[in-house]
Amino acid sequence: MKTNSIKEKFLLYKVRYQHDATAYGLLYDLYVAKIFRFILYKVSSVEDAEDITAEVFLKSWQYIKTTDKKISNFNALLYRVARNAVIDYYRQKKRQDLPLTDEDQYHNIVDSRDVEKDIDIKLEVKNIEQALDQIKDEYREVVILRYVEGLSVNEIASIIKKSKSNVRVLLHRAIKRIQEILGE
Amino acid sequence: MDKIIKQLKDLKGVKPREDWTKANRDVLLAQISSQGSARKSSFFDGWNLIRMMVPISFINFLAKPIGIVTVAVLFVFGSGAFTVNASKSSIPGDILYPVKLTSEKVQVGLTVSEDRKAELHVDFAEERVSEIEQIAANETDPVKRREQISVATDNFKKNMDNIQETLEKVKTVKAEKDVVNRSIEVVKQVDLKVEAIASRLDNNNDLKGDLAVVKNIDAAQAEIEETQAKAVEVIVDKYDKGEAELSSEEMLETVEAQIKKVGDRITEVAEREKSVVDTSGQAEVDKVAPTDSEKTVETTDVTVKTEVAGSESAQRLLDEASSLLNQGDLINALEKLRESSAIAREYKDIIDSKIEELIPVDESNLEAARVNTSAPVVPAVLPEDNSVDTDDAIEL
Repeated sequence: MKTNSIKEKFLLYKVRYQHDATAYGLLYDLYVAKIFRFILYKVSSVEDAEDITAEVFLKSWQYIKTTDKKISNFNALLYRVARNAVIDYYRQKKRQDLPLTDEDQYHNIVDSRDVEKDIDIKLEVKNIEQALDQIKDEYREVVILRYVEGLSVNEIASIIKKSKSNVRVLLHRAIKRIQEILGE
Repeated sequence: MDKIIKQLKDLKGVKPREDWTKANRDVLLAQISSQGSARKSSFFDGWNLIRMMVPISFINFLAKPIGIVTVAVLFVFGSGAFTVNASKSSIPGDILYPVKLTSEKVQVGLTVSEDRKAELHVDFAEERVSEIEQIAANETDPVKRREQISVATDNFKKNMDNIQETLEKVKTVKAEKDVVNRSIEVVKQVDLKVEAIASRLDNNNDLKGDLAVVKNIDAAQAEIEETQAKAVEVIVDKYDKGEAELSSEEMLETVEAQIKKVGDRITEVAEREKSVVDTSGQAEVDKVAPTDSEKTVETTDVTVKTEVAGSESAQRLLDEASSLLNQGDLINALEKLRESSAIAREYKDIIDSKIEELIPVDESNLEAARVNTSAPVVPAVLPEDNSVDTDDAIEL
């Protein structure tokens, strides 16, 4: 078992059975960047991504404290909560009749956050982000989870509630589509 | 492709602002602290800690000596042995059913060989099917019947998952040729037995009257398909690496058989599709058909007659798999086959939900429509609302 996993389980135990806020703070440190990134590529606005990320951690705390169900994978739990929070965000946005995407804002993301300083990498990041922006959300979601966050097909299947073969097909189609967009 | 994956990995550099991360942490901790103070330790905390920290593999490791001691105790106290024995005929809902499942777990825990484990998991899966058959034939209360079949199919799916995991281990383990050859024989047997299980479920008319039961059985059949695909994957992999003594004819036969299975499934899906099309018109189906085209899905409000339907898309991939197989490219043939199978399954789900929409009231008609796909289903009232699932509705 990985050291990280042991540490995570111990922290989760402290949160669940002792309602230990400090332990939850450490879990936050472990996952905040991942969850922020996952949300950012779904909402395309840094401010909204920050708000939703904050909400995800608060909701997850409340869930862990109250649920009777076994939590075997804290990682998967956070992604599921994040996914639902993004759905709620779009529902709300739709009700307020606001535009769903703000392209200008999206294209400013790369410049406004702490990305790699190297120019080449920055350009590559921008290219791949633009390609990601053009593919369907379900493709973008699996690609981010698999290749950026390094989750297994099994974990992704449990997060997006699809079968493993569905996930494999989505990944295959997503990469094919990105290749088309990038002209490779 | 590798370049794209590398570029995607570079996105890990995208991080939230440091000042926001810190400020949000402080706010979060203040919020959760205000919701109540920390709990004091209790007597059960130790046990809870063990449950959370101890990995399953370690529990399995411990299960062996515990299992031996249990067996010894059962011999000494005959009534215990009687309990385990009596539990063998139990079905979901019986008091002894958990004993039966636990004794199966102990049996697997006591087994070292992965081949033997795979065989055991298949035996247990067969047992689950017997339970399903028994419930379907004897339980008259429809609510209880659904619940019990749901429990049995859930356990069946776990058995199938276990078989797939064991097959994956067989695939990755490197061993002497004769050991691998023996494993391959076991994998073939697993494939055959699982095929027999699929037919048992398919041919049981007791399982065809109730929509909830049909859905459960469909989910079980999907797991069976995954297991069979895994078995073929293991055989092809071992052949491809030269680890097993298999003739090329034998390999061709194995993959061809799998192609035929997927082909049969596509035909079945196409027939179901036809029954819906006959009923509600081609346009309705076209709207929901999954295709390779991005535009198709994004313009669901427009009827696109030129779209490739799901079953055709799956058939096309299957043809590509056949042609790759003829060229001797086993690995890519298998990849296409897997993709084709997943599309067929995905499309079948869509067609089934379409059938459900068309017959919202009388569930028994649905099964009639499924069994006799040549007879078009005529709905009493066509639903006006064509809304899709929330997840699909939001294009983020």
